[in-house]
Amino acid sequence: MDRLAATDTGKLGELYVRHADDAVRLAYLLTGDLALAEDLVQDAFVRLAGRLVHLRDPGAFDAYLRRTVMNLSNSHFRRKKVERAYLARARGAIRTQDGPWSDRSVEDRDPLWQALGRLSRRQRVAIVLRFYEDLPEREVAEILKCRPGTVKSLVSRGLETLRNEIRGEGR
Amino acid sequence: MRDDLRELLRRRAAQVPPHLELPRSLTGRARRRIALNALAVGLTVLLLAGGAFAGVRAFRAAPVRQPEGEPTTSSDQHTPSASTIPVCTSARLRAVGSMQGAAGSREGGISLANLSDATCTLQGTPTITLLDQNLEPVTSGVTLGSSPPGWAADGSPEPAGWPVVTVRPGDSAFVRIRWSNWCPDGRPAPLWRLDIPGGGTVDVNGFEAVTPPPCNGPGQPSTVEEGPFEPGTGP
Repeated sequence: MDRLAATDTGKLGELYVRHADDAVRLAYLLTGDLALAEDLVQDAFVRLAGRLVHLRDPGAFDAYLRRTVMNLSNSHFRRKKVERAYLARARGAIRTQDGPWSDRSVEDRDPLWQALGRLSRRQRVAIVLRFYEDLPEREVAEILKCRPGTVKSLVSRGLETLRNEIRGEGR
Repeated sequence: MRDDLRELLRRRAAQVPPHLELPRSLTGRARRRIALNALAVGLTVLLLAGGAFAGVRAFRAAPVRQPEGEPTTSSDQHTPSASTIPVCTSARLRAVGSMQGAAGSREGGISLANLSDATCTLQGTPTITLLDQNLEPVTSGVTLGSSPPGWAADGSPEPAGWPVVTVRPGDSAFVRIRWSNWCPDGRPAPLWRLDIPGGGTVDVNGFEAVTPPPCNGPGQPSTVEEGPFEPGTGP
Protein backbone atom coordinates (compact mmCIF):
# COMPACT_ATOMS: atom_id res chain seq x y z
CA MET A 1 0.00 0.00 0.00
CA ASP A 2 2.95 2.31 0.77
CA ARG A 3 4.41 1.68 -2.70
CA LEU A 4 1.03 2.38 -4.26
CA ALA A 5 0.71 5.58 -2.28
CA ALA A 6 4.25 6.63 -3.25
CA THR A 7 3.53 6.00 -6.93
CA ASP A 8 0.29 7.92 -6.76
CA THR A 9 1.74 10.84 -4.85
CA GLY A 10 4.59 11.04 -7.37
CA LYS A 11 2.03 11.21 -10.14
CA LEU A 12 0.06 13.72 -8.10
CA GLY A 13 3.17 15.93 -7.78
CA GLU A 14 3.54 16.07 -11.55
CA LEU A 15 -0.12 16.92 -12.01
CA TYR A 16 0.05 19.57 -9.28
CA VAL A 17 2.97 21.40 -10.86
CA ARG A 18 1.24 21.30 -14.25
CA HIS A 19 -2.31 22.25 -13.21
CA ALA A 20 -2.26 23.97 -9.80
CA ASP A 21 -1.71 27.50 -11.14
CA ASP A 22 -4.74 27.36 -13.42
CA ALA A 23 -6.89 25.78 -10.72
CA VAL A 24 -5.94 28.38 -8.09
CA ARG A 25 -6.59 31.22 -10.55
CA LEU A 26 -10.04 29.87 -11.30
CA ALA A 27 -10.80 29.35 -7.60
CA TYR A 28 -9.56 32.86 -6.83
CA LEU A 29 -11.80 34.42 -9.45
CA LEU A 30 -14.76 32.43 -8.14
CA THR A 31 -14.18 33.23 -4.48
CA GLY A 32 -12.24 36.50 -4.48
CA ASP A 33 -10.08 35.09 -1.72
CA LEU A 34 -6.60 33.85 -2.57
CA ALA A 35 -6.09 31.90 0.66
CA LEU A 36 -9.47 30.24 0.29
CA ALA A 37 -8.64 29.46 -3.35
CA GLU A 38 -5.42 27.72 -2.29
CA ASP A 39 -7.34 25.67 0.29
CA LEU A 40 -10.01 24.65 -2.19
CA VAL A 41 -7.45 23.56 -4.75
CA GLN A 42 -5.55 21.54 -2.15
CA ASP A 43 -8.81 19.87 -1.15
CA ALA A 44 -9.48 19.14 -4.81
CA PHE A 45 -6.07 17.51 -5.27
CA VAL A 46 -6.55 15.42 -2.14
CA ARG A 47 -9.90 14.21 -3.46
CA LEU A 48 -8.43 13.41 -6.84
CA ALA A 49 -5.41 11.64 -5.29
CA GLY A 50 -7.60 8.69 -4.35
CA ARG A 51 -8.98 8.42 -7.85
CA LEU A 52 -5.83 8.67 -9.93
CA VAL A 53 -5.87 4.94 -10.66
CA HIS A 54 -9.24 5.39 -12.34
CA LEU A 55 -8.01 8.25 -14.53
CA ARG A 56 -7.70 6.58 -17.93
CA ASP A 57 -7.20 9.74 -19.96
CA PRO A 58 -4.56 12.07 -18.43
CA GLY A 59 -5.80 14.79 -20.78
CA ALA A 60 -9.13 14.74 -18.96
CA PHE A 61 -7.51 15.70 -15.66
CA ASP A 62 -7.81 19.41 -16.37
CA ALA A 63 -11.58 19.22 -16.81
CA TYR A 64 -11.86 16.86 -13.86
CA LEU A 65 -9.93 19.26 -11.63
CA ARG A 66 -11.95 22.25 -12.81
CA ARG A 67 -15.18 20.43 -12.03
CA THR A 68 -13.92 19.46 -8.57
CA VAL A 69 -12.81 23.03 -7.79
CA MET A 70 -16.22 24.28 -8.91
CA ASN A 71 -18.02 21.79 -6.71
CA LEU A 72 -15.89 22.60 -3.68
CA SER A 73 -16.40 26.29 -4.27
CA ASN A 74 -20.17 25.78 -4.48
CA SER A 75 -20.10 23.74 -1.27
CA HIS A 76 -18.13 26.50 0.43
CA PHE A 77 -20.65 29.19 -0.55
CA ARG A 78 -23.58 27.00 0.43
CA ARG A 79 -22.04 26.55 3.87
CA LYS A 80 -21.40 30.27 4.15
CA LYS A 81 -24.99 30.99 3.14
CA VAL A 82 -26.28 28.70 5.86
CA GLU A 83 -23.96 30.33 8.38
CA ARG A 84 -25.09 33.81 7.36
CA ALA A 85 -28.75 32.81 7.54
CA TYR A 86 -28.22 31.40 11.00
CA LEU A 87 -26.39 34.50 12.21
CA ALA A 88 -29.04 36.75 10.65
CA ARG A 89 -31.81 34.87 12.43
CA ALA A 90 -29.85 35.00 15.65
CA ARG A 91 -29.58 38.77 15.32
CA GLY A 92 -33.23 39.14 14.37
CA ALA A 93 -32.31 40.37 10.94
CA ILE A 94 -34.52 39.62 7.96
CA ARG A 95 -32.17 39.92 5.03
CA THR A 96 -30.13 36.96 3.88
CA GLN A 97 -28.62 36.87 0.46
CA ASP A 98 -26.01 35.14 -1.60
CA GLY A 99 -23.56 37.74 -0.40
CA PRO A 100 -20.36 39.16 -1.80
CA TRP A 101 -17.00 37.57 -1.17
CA SER A 102 -15.96 38.47 2.28
CA ASP A 103 -12.26 39.19 2.35
CA ARG A 104 -11.98 42.16 0.08
CA SER A 105 -8.99 44.08 1.10
CA VAL A 106 -9.61 47.58 2.30
CA GLU A 107 -7.07 48.77 -0.22
CA ASP A 108 -8.81 46.90 -3.02
CA ARG A 109 -10.75 49.72 -4.59
CA ASP A 110 -11.28 48.27 -8.10
CA PRO A 111 -15.02 48.97 -8.63
CA LEU A 112 -15.50 46.25 -11.22
CA TRP A 113 -13.84 43.68 -8.99
CA GLN A 114 -16.01 44.84 -6.07
CA ALA A 115 -19.11 44.64 -8.24
CA LEU A 116 -18.19 41.15 -9.44
CA GLY A 117 -18.02 40.09 -5.82
CA ARG A 118 -21.57 41.30 -5.22
CA LEU A 119 -23.07 39.17 -8.00
CA SER A 120 -24.99 36.05 -7.13
CA ARG A 121 -22.84 32.92 -7.05
CA ARG A 122 -24.31 31.47 -10.24
CA GLN A 123 -23.94 34.73 -12.15
CA ARG A 124 -20.32 35.05 -11.02
CA VAL A 125 -19.54 31.45 -12.00
CA ALA A 126 -21.16 31.89 -15.40
CA ILE A 127 -19.23 35.09 -16.06
CA VAL A 128 -15.87 33.71 -14.94
CA LEU A 129 -16.29 30.55 -17.01
CA ARG A 130 -17.41 32.50 -20.07
CA PHE A 131 -14.95 35.44 -19.95
CA TYR A 132 -11.93 33.93 -18.24
CA GLU A 133 -12.04 30.24 -19.15
CA ASP A 134 -13.65 31.09 -22.53
CA LEU A 135 -15.91 28.06 -22.24
CA PRO A 136 -18.87 27.87 -24.62
CA GLU A 137 -22.35 28.23 -23.12
CA ARG A 138 -22.97 24.50 -23.57
CA GLU A 139 -20.01 23.56 -21.33
CA VAL A 140 -20.88 26.19 -18.74
CA ALA A 141 -24.41 24.79 -18.72
CA GLU A 142 -23.04 21.30 -18.05
CA ILE A 143 -20.98 22.57 -15.13
CA LEU A 144 -23.87 24.58 -13.68
CA LYS A 145 -26.29 21.72 -14.43
CA CYS A 146 -28.69 23.97 -16.29
CA ARG A 147 -29.73 24.69 -19.88
CA PRO A 148 -27.56 26.83 -22.20
CA GLY A 149 -30.39 29.36 -22.31
CA THR A 150 -30.10 29.76 -18.54
CA VAL A 151 -26.36 30.42 -18.88
CA LYS A 152 -27.08 33.08 -21.47
CA SER A 153 -29.55 34.68 -19.10
CA LEU A 154 -27.17 34.49 -16.11
CA VAL A 155 -24.36 36.14 -18.10
CA SER A 156 -26.66 38.80 -19.52
CA ARG A 157 -28.14 39.71 -16.15
CA GLY A 158 -24.73 39.60 -14.51
CA LEU A 159 -23.30 42.01 -17.04
CA GLU A 160 -26.32 44.26 -16.63
CA THR A 161 -25.83 44.27 -12.86
CA LEU A 162 -22.13 45.06 -13.26
CA ARG A 163 -22.93 47.95 -15.60
CA ASN A 164 -25.46 49.34 -13.16
CA GLU A 165 -23.05 49.00 -10.25
CA ILE A 166 -20.24 50.78 -12.11
CA ARG A 167 -22.61 53.57 -13.19
CA GLY A 168 -23.88 53.90 -9.63
CA GLU A 169 -20.39 54.14 -8.19
CA GLY A 170 -19.36 56.63 -10.90
CA ARG A 171 -22.01 59.12 -9.89
CA MET B 1 -17.82 46.03 -20.49
CA ARG B 2 -16.97 42.57 -21.79
CA ASP B 3 -13.40 43.61 -22.66
CA ASP B 4 -13.00 45.37 -19.32
CA LEU B 5 -14.20 42.24 -17.59
CA ARG B 6 -11.81 40.00 -19.53
CA GLU B 7 -8.93 42.34 -18.74
CA LEU B 8 -9.87 42.46 -15.05
CA LEU B 9 -10.09 38.68 -14.76
CA ARG B 10 -6.74 38.16 -16.51
CA ARG B 11 -5.08 40.80 -14.35
CA ARG B 12 -6.47 39.29 -11.16
CA ALA B 13 -5.55 35.77 -12.23
CA ALA B 14 -1.99 36.93 -12.87
CA GLN B 15 -1.70 37.89 -9.19
CA VAL B 16 -1.74 34.21 -8.24
CA PRO B 17 1.83 33.14 -7.39
CA PRO B 18 3.26 30.13 -9.25
CA HIS B 19 3.02 26.64 -7.71
CA LEU B 20 6.34 24.95 -8.32
CA GLU B 21 6.06 21.85 -6.17
CA LEU B 22 3.57 19.75 -4.28
CA PRO B 23 3.22 21.18 -0.75
CA ARG B 24 4.37 18.83 1.99
CA SER B 25 1.04 19.08 3.82
CA LEU B 26 -0.78 18.09 0.66
CA THR B 27 1.47 15.04 0.22
CA GLY B 28 0.53 13.77 3.69
CA ARG B 29 -3.18 14.34 3.15
CA ALA B 30 -3.02 12.66 -0.26
CA ARG B 31 -1.24 9.61 1.18
CA ARG B 32 -3.89 9.28 3.88
CA ARG B 33 -6.62 9.60 1.29
CA ILE B 34 -5.04 6.95 -0.94
CA ALA B 35 -4.63 4.62 2.03
CA LEU B 36 -8.24 5.16 3.09
CA ASN B 37 -9.46 4.50 -0.43
CA ALA B 38 -7.41 1.30 -0.63
CA LEU B 39 -8.80 0.24 2.75
CA ALA B 40 -12.36 0.97 1.64
CA VAL B 41 -11.86 -1.03 -1.55
CA GLY B 42 -10.38 -3.92 0.42
CA LEU B 43 -13.24 -3.93 2.92
CA THR B 44 -15.79 -3.78 0.12
CA VAL B 45 -14.19 -6.72 -1.66
CA LEU B 46 -14.05 -8.63 1.62
CA LEU B 47 -17.72 -7.94 2.37
CA LEU B 48 -18.79 -8.91 -1.14
CA ALA B 49 -16.75 -12.12 -1.00
CA GLY B 50 -18.16 -12.94 2.44
CA GLY B 51 -21.70 -12.28 1.27
CA ALA B 52 -21.23 -14.41 -1.82
CA PHE B 53 -19.74 -17.25 0.22
CA ALA B 54 -22.58 -17.08 2.76
CA GLY B 55 -25.13 -17.00 -0.05
CA VAL B 56 -23.67 -20.02 -1.79
CA ARG B 57 -23.43 -21.84 1.51
CA ALA B 58 -27.05 -21.03 2.42
CA PHE B 59 -28.18 -22.07 -1.04
CA ARG B 60 -26.38 -25.40 -0.80
CA ALA B 61 -27.72 -26.00 2.71
CA ALA B 62 -31.34 -25.31 1.74
CA PRO B 63 -33.49 -28.46 1.89
CA VAL B 64 -34.84 -29.85 -1.36
CA ARG B 65 -38.56 -29.16 -1.41
CA GLN B 66 -40.66 -32.18 -2.28
CA PRO B 67 -43.66 -31.55 -4.55
CA GLU B 68 -46.98 -32.18 -2.86
CA GLY B 69 -48.45 -35.62 -3.37
CA GLU B 70 -45.14 -37.30 -4.03
CA PRO B 71 -43.85 -39.55 -1.30
CA THR B 72 -40.59 -38.44 0.24
CA THR B 73 -37.75 -40.83 0.52
CA SER B 74 -34.97 -40.58 2.98
CA SER B 75 -32.44 -40.29 0.21
CA ASP B 76 -34.16 -37.19 -1.19
CA GLN B 77 -34.11 -35.52 2.18
CA HIS B 78 -30.50 -36.29 2.82
CA THR B 79 -28.86 -35.09 -0.37
CA PRO B 80 -27.71 -31.50 0.22
CA SER B 81 -24.81 -30.01 2.11
CA ALA B 82 -23.36 -33.21 3.45
CA SER B 83 -19.87 -31.72 3.43
CA THR B 84 -20.77 -29.14 6.08
CA ILE B 85 -22.65 -31.47 8.44
CA PRO B 86 -20.85 -33.28 11.27
CA VAL B 87 -20.34 -37.02 11.47
CA CYS B 88 -22.89 -39.00 13.52
CA THR B 89 -21.22 -40.05 16.74
CA SER B 90 -22.31 -42.97 18.89
CA ALA B 91 -23.82 -40.55 21.43
CA ARG B 92 -26.35 -39.48 18.80
CA LEU B 93 -27.23 -42.97 17.57
CA ARG B 94 -29.34 -45.88 18.67
CA ALA B 95 -28.68 -49.18 16.85
CA VAL B 96 -31.40 -51.81 16.54
CA GLY B 97 -30.82 -55.06 14.65
CA SER B 98 -33.26 -57.50 13.15
CA MET B 99 -32.77 -60.62 11.04
CA GLN B 100 -34.90 -63.24 9.44
CA GLY B 101 -34.19 -66.81 8.60
CA ALA B 102 -33.10 -67.68 5.14
CA ALA B 103 -31.69 -70.85 3.60
CA GLY B 104 -29.17 -71.71 6.28
CA SER B 105 -28.39 -68.10 7.05
CA ARG B 106 -29.88 -64.99 8.60
CA GLU B 107 -30.46 -61.84 6.63
CA GLY B 108 -31.43 -58.46 7.90
CA GLY B 109 -29.56 -55.45 9.11
CA ILE B 110 -28.92 -52.80 11.69
CA SER B 111 -30.91 -49.61 11.78
CA LEU B 112 -29.15 -46.57 13.21
CA ALA B 113 -31.57 -43.88 14.39
CA ASN B 114 -30.42 -40.31 14.97
CA LEU B 115 -31.73 -39.50 18.47
CA SER B 116 -30.17 -36.03 18.61
CA ASP B 117 -31.75 -32.80 17.49
CA ALA B 118 -29.09 -32.13 14.85
CA THR B 119 -28.50 -33.57 11.43
CA CYS B 120 -25.38 -35.69 11.01
CA THR B 121 -23.77 -37.89 8.38
CA LEU B 122 -22.53 -41.46 8.06
CA GLN B 123 -20.23 -42.76 5.39
CA GLY B 124 -18.43 -46.02 4.69
CA THR B 125 -18.82 -49.36 6.45
CA PRO B 126 -18.86 -49.81 10.22
CA THR B 127 -16.61 -52.37 11.85
CA ILE B 128 -18.56 -55.19 13.50
CA THR B 129 -17.35 -56.83 16.68
CA LEU B 130 -19.11 -59.86 18.13
CA LEU B 131 -18.93 -60.17 21.93
CA ASP B 132 -19.39 -63.28 24.02
CA GLN B 133 -21.43 -63.52 27.19
CA ASN B 134 -18.56 -61.99 29.15
CA LEU B 135 -18.53 -59.06 26.74
CA GLU B 136 -15.18 -60.26 25.40
CA PRO B 137 -14.61 -59.93 21.66
CA VAL B 138 -14.90 -63.13 19.71
CA THR B 139 -11.57 -63.05 17.94
CA SER B 140 -11.53 -66.49 16.34
CA GLY B 141 -13.95 -68.51 14.29
CA VAL B 142 -15.57 -65.48 12.71
CA THR B 143 -14.90 -64.12 9.24
CA LEU B 144 -16.05 -60.65 8.36
CA GLY B 145 -16.89 -59.95 4.73
CA SER B 146 -18.53 -57.28 2.72
CA SER B 147 -21.75 -57.23 0.78
CA PRO B 148 -23.31 -54.67 -1.54
CA PRO B 149 -25.80 -52.16 -0.13
CA GLY B 150 -29.45 -53.13 -0.15
CA TRP B 151 -30.38 -50.74 -2.96
CA ALA B 152 -27.73 -52.28 -5.22
CA ALA B 153 -28.83 -55.82 -4.37
CA ASP B 154 -32.43 -54.88 -5.16
CA GLY B 155 -31.47 -53.15 -8.42
CA SER B 156 -32.80 -49.84 -7.11
CA PRO B 157 -31.23 -46.53 -8.20
CA GLU B 158 -28.39 -45.16 -6.16
CA PRO B 159 -29.69 -42.79 -3.47
CA ALA B 160 -28.83 -39.12 -3.94
CA GLY B 161 -25.67 -38.11 -2.10
CA TRP B 162 -24.52 -41.67 -1.51
CA PRO B 163 -22.01 -42.85 -0.23
CA VAL B 164 -22.61 -40.01 2.25
CA VAL B 165 -25.81 -40.64 4.19
CA THR B 166 -27.27 -37.58 5.84
CA VAL B 167 -29.40 -38.47 8.83
CA ARG B 168 -31.84 -35.87 10.08
CA PRO B 169 -33.09 -35.95 13.67
CA GLY B 170 -35.46 -38.91 14.02
CA ASP B 171 -34.38 -40.46 10.71
CA SER B 172 -32.32 -43.60 10.31
CA ALA B 173 -29.51 -45.10 8.31
CA PHE B 174 -29.19 -48.79 7.64
CA VAL B 175 -26.46 -51.41 7.38
CA ARG B 176 -27.30 -54.64 5.58
CA ILE B 177 -26.14 -57.87 7.35
CA ARG B 178 -25.96 -61.47 6.25
CA TRP B 179 -24.88 -63.96 8.91
CA SER B 180 -24.29 -67.70 8.52
CA ASN B 181 -22.75 -70.84 10.11
CA TRP B 182 -22.77 -70.23 13.85
CA CYS B 183 -21.19 -73.35 15.38
CA PRO B 184 -21.74 -75.44 17.30
CA ASP B 185 -25.49 -75.52 17.24
CA GLY B 186 -26.91 -74.19 20.46
CA ARG B 187 -24.01 -71.84 21.01
CA PRO B 188 -25.32 -68.69 22.71
CA ALA B 189 -25.95 -65.79 20.39
CA PRO B 190 -23.27 -63.11 20.56
CA LEU B 191 -23.74 -59.43 21.31
CA TRP B 192 -23.06 -57.07 18.45
CA ARG B 193 -21.10 -53.85 18.58
CA LEU B 194 -20.53 -51.36 15.77
CA ASP B 195 -17.53 -49.13 15.40
CA ILE B 196 -18.72 -46.02 13.52
CA PRO B 197 -15.98 -44.49 11.33
CA GLY B 198 -14.90 -41.39 13.22
CA GLY B 199 -17.82 -41.67 15.63
CA GLY B 200 -17.04 -44.21 18.38
CA THR B 201 -18.81 -47.49 19.15
CA VAL B 202 -22.45 -48.26 19.60
CA ASP B 203 -24.01 -51.51 20.93
CA VAL B 204 -26.73 -53.12 18.86
CA ASN B 205 -30.04 -54.00 20.49
CA GLY B 206 -32.51 -56.55 19.18
CA PHE B 207 -30.15 -59.30 18.01
CA GLU B 208 -30.54 -61.10 21.31
CA ALA B 209 -34.00 -62.09 20.18
CA VAL B 210 -32.68 -63.55 16.90
CA THR B 211 -32.01 -67.24 16.67
CA PRO B 212 -28.46 -67.67 15.33
CA PRO B 213 -27.98 -69.33 11.95
CA PRO B 214 -27.51 -73.14 11.93
CA CYS B 215 -24.10 -74.71 11.97
CA ASN B 216 -23.92 -75.97 8.41
CA GLY B 217 -20.13 -76.23 8.26
CA PRO B 218 -18.68 -77.54 11.52
CA GLY B 219 -15.09 -76.43 11.87
CA GLN B 220 -15.73 -73.64 9.44
CA PRO B 221 -15.79 -70.03 10.66
CA SER B 222 -19.00 -68.13 11.08
CA THR B 223 -19.43 -65.57 8.33
CA VAL B 224 -20.74 -62.07 8.78
CA GLU B 225 -21.18 -59.99 5.62
CA GLU B 226 -22.07 -56.37 5.94
CA GLY B 227 -22.88 -53.60 3.58
CA PRO B 228 -22.07 -49.90 3.79
CA PHE B 229 -24.33 -47.27 5.36
CA GLU B 230 -27.35 -46.49 3.25
CA PRO B 231 -30.37 -44.26 3.80
CA GLY B 232 -33.58 -45.54 5.35
CA THR B 233 -34.50 -48.38 7.67
CA GLY B 234 -33.87 -51.28 5.34
CA PRO B 235 -36.22 -53.44 3.32
